Amino acid sequence: MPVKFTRTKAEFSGECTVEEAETIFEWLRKTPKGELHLAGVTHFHAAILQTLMITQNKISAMPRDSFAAECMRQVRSA
Amino acid sequence: MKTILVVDDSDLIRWVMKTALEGEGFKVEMAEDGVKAIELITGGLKPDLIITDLNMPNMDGLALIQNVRPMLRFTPILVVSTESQASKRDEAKKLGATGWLTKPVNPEDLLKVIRRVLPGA
Amino acid sequence: MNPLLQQFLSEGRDFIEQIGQKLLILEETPNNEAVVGELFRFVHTLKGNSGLFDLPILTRVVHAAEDLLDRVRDHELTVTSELTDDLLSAMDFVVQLLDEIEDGGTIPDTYLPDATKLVDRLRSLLPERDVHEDEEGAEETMPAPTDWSWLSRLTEEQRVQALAQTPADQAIWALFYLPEPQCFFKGEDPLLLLKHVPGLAGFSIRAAQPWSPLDELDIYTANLAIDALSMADRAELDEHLRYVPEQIAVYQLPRFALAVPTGDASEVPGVYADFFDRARDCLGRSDMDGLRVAVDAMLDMINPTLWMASALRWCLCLQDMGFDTSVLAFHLEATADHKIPDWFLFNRTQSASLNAPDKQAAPIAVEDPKLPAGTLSDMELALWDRIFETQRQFLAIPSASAQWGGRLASVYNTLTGLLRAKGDVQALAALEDAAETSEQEKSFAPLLEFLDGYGPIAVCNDEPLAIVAEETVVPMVVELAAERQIRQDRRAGEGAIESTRRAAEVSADKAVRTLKVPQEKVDRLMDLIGEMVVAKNALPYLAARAEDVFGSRELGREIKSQYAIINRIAEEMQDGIMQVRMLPVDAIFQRFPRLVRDVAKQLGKKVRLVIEGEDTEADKNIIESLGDPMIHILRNSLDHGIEMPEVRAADGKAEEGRLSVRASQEGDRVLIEIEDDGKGIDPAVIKRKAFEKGLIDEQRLDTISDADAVQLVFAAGFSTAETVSNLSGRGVGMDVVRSSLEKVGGQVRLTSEKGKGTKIILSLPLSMSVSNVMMVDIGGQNFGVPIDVVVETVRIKQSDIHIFKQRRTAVLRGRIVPLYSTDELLASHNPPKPNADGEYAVLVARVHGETVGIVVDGFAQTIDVILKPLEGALAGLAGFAGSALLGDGSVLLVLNIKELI
Repeated sequence: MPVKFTRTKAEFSGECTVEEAETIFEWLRKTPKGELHLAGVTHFHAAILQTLMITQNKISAMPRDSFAAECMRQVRSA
Repeated sequence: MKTILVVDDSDLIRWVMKTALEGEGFKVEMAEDGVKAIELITGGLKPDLIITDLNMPNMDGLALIQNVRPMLRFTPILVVSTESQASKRDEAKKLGATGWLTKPVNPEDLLKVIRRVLPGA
Repeated sequence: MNPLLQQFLSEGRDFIEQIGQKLLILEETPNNEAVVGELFRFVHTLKGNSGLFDLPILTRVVHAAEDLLDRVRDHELTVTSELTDDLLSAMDFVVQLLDEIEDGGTIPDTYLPDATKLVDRLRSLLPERDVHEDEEGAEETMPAPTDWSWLSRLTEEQRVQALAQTPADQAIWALFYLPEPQCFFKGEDPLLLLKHVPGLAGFSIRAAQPWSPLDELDIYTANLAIDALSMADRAELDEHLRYVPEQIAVYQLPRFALAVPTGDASEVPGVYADFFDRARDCLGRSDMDGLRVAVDAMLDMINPTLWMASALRWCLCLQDMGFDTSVLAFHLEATADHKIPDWFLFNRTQSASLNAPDKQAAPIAVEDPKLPAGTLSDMELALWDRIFETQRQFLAIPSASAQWGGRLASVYNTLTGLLRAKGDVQALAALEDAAETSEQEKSFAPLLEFLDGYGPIAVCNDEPLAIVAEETVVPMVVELAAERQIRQDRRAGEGAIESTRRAAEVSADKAVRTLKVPQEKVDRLMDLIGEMVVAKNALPYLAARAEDVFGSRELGREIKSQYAIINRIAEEMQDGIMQVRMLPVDAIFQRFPRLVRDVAKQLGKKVRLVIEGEDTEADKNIIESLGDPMIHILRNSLDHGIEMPEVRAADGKAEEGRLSVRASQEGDRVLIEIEDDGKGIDPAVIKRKAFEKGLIDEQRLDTISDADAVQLVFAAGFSTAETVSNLSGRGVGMDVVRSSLEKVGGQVRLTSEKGKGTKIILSLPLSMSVSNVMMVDIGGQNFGVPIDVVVETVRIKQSDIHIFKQRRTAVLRGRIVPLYSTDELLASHNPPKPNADGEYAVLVARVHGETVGIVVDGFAQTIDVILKPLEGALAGLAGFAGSALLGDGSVLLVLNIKELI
């Protein structure tokens, strides 16, 4: 599982697949104060990005991958 | 390592695909028709990508897609066919295929298309 | 038979059943697009599957049906009662063919003439097809967006880079990608596709529609709108996007379109006004150097993060790219108004003026009297208004006298085009006059007057669309309005089709979590758990033996505790397998609409069938045993219950009879009510008939209640039908209904009110779960008797048995109990023998409310078994409830005492 959840933080790494979107979405809904550590993401599926668009969890580290980082900028900067 | 399931009734094509894909670092599983492919999947195989021929005995590519979709909801499926008409492709797409390759498949084109549907490839 | 062919046959029957159902729904609601879609898909798949085998006759018939439905889908053909009849009979024919294949593996050529006739008939219903339509419908493509403001979501740097990397004479490709909502279920990842777009130079991602509330949101419904810039060439782009052409629009952006200011929108009071005056002045004189100096000076003064600074940098950039004053002026005026320049609009007006026949020429009278009818779509109207309004602004931009004529011509041409599109002849004439006056007076005033006089602009949508026209709009708001615009455009374009498609997709998704398992596999599990239940029952005996024979109480206890665990697991397992075997009653009910429709038509009656609770579940065997009895009951209702329309009308009833079938679950039983509002049953007639047929004696005739009397229709040998019709009179009466239901532990009751209708209630067990049976010895062989009919087991001395009314009887607890001996019941030649003390073993059972004694050779233990109905040749043996497999592999026959006596 490329996403590790703790009580206060979700750490994404590698390639986040569509199958994980549901789990991530659940966690984000239940943990609105939880922070997202995205530094290690290499790619996320569009469904994952959608979860990040509709929830407002704080992002503690943006992805190092430039494409993923630009996606985040698009959905979270405005 | 990503696993690709190649479904084709031609021994030759399966061999060519296997060689090309393994050379690129994929794990390759093979089935000679839709029924065998379904057996592999119901047996627990969870490929990251399925590449299937359209015309096969027993269960053809379209029927395979129909049967696979309920089990593997999000897995990309590419169909390979000699047929140049768009109708079969469109039908495959309607049934849940992700894209297609035209026979004869050259390895370069194959990899380009795989990259389009399989992340990290 | 080839297992695949077998699968085709069973699937084929399923499909035909579904097709029949959908056709009937469609007959009621001919415009139900979702049903048309499903129907087409079933027929289409059936055809496709048949192509796998060499069955040309079948394929041809199905193909003809498919062609018809294809036209229905395209709205070229409407579903009528006749069309339904034809399609239904085609499907009936296909069923015949399937039967043939099942029996003989192939379709005899004797079917060819009928098939040909049928195909010709179906083909004759096909409307002539317009050739043009075929071509048009070939490829659906997405329209390019009419709003380019998404570019402001790219950073200034990204856009500057993109411009730097494309040669000055080359346009920049943009794509608009609206992934379809269900695309994730096709293995698509829009982000992956975007990531690998060749020459990707920047992109924007937004929600395509407002998000639903979190609780209702389906994260697997794609809701993204993606715009992107690409430096690659068109061929490369098309190749990359070829899998999703219907979701993507690729279009060209002129280089200036990238000049969109972004940044902090706050104002620096009092500094801008002078600057704009100066800049306009420079532009008016085409003094590019002067403009550059003014912009540079301004840029030095203000914070570079400001929106204004960005706008000024773009002004320099546009100059660097060599754009002429019109581009610069448009940009400058938008900047002065604190707006994002609407480059799409500008580009459109520009190309309009470029396409004008003679740029400098004075307006020429319109020669062409033929005006297209003013039929513009909402979207076009909105665009129309925007372009129209822009002309006013265009005229307001100061211009050097050299360009004056060009602008007049450009505005005139654009307006002419607009008015022609609307078909407004009067306005065209007025425009011509105004333009001529303007030309003569060398002033825009007359043209502006015409524009003002054209009246308020009809805004077709509620939301403000005229982006440039609005007075004080900050960039962010512009963006929102732009998003709305895109959404609206899209909605206008796809609305109806999209919604039906979505409905179809949702229903497809419902099937996703269902696993198709061959029946034999479940049956095998059932057999195994049956054996398991029996085998585990050996453990208590083993425990007893451990204690008694081997003297180890401890081992005995351990075996018992292990038994408790195994027992629990076995019960849960059995429960689980039972659940798998549960089917909705719909499996049977779905045949009824067709049946009722056909029978009613044949009889000339009008009947509305109402089905409720079709999702009630019961064990597969129960469900299967329901089919024939229910069809029989329904036919009876149609035949004898519901009256002819004219009779009903005369009785003051609605002409259309109502037949309702309701299923529900009550505790561990399934209840099915079949109710009609027909003529009901007259208890007096039943009593008389029953008496005539010797079913009741004179005494009973007098005492029997009406409610009990109507139950007599279930008695063997009773038939109320005065004339035997070809429908219900198939030589079986309601007694067959009763006995076949009783075989699976069901009961049936009838209530009826003369003139009002009849209601039949079937009550069935939910599942064929474990039955507790008592094993009895009859002639040296073990038989089972269901424990629920057993009252007690007694031993009766030979001397206590008396002959009374030609029957052996005994007195038990003060009551006379008739005794039956197993040799008479089973027609065997071994009469039960008494034991050494001269006592007979008698099983006392309760049958039809009476207590009877059955004389057997001896009793054995009671055991749990899973009762299976007898199959094949044995199925007709009424005296047996079924068979059960024992732990040692032998088969136990279980008696049906009710039938035996």
